[in-house]
Amino acid sequence: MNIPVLLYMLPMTAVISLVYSASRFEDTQAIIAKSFRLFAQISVFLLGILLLLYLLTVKL
Amino acid sequence: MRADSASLLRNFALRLQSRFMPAQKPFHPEELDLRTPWLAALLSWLVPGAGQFYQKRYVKAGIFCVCILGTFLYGVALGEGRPVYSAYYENRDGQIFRKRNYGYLSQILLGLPAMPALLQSQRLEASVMNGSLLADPLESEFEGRILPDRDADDNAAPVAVRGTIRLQMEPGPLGPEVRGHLVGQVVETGEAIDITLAEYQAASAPPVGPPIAADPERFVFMQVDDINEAPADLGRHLRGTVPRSFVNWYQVPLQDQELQDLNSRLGKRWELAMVFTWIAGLLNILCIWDAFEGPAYGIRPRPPEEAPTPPKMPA
Repeated sequence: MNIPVLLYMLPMTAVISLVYSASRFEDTQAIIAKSFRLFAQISVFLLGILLLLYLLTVKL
Repeated sequence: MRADSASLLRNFALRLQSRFMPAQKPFHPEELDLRTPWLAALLSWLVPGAGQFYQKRYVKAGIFCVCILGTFLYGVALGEGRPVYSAYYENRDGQIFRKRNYGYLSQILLGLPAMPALLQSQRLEASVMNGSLLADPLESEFEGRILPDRDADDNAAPVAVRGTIRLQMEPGPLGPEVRGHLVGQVVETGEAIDITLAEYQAASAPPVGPPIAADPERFVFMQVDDINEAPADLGRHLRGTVPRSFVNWYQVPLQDQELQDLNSRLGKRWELAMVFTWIAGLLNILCIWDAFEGPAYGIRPRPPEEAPTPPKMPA
């Protein structure tokens, strides 16, 4: 199956968020809440970089 | 008017915040028994989450184990089982150079799942030093083709065959040589074949692949010596593969030719496979740290129990 390379970002970001949050907190609710928030932050940051690179490519 | 707008805006922002980002309950510092921290850290290095399991923090053990091991195994699957290796061998100017794989420094942070690579590196070197292609007779399933002779009719085409192959070392006129037997059938027509095989006397390639190599398939490169049963006009050159056992290819150091093949065949998938296994190893640092020190926020380790003070003796 040919998966677009960008889609690999999603499980990787989710795993990183979850493991990082689990190393910060002990309470399960806090781990889940924080990991959702971190997932959103990382995704927005990466998509922002992607958009910036795309715009630079178009301009060039 | 302006003050009303600002107040409305602030209320709206507060409502949004309370809707999407509910205030987290303040953490009450509670006691956490880390048991023997260094042992927990060691267990977490060996198997992600094992240290937390030992500390009876089962939810976190599950999170670490599933996430980190899952990432590692997914990377291994993406790279067809070969992105974890401690070294690779480069053939340059007729000499073989051993090169370290620095990515392995990250993979070994995962402990046991990445350790076979160290063992396989030693096994490969011992096997190369031994130099024997077939220490024991080989009997295995075979898939391949029989190619026509060069001077054969132009219409002759390769014939796909499968069956059971037996190979062993036998004394020959110039020393020990590989000889064998293939019993099977032609894939397209189902006709039976029963042929005797011999190695080429002046071939540059060996008749059979090495017993230990980073490839699940072991090639066979022999000539048809005698035909007991086969369709007419069968060629004389046998090319194919036999399966290599899992312990003889998993995490075995790669040759640079195999690396190039993986890079060209898998492309970005190969790079992603490496990245997934590296990140899994790096994430395990957080897991080891958590087992040793506890979580970074909100919890403090249980203080050591104070020895009970002896009751004062009445004067």
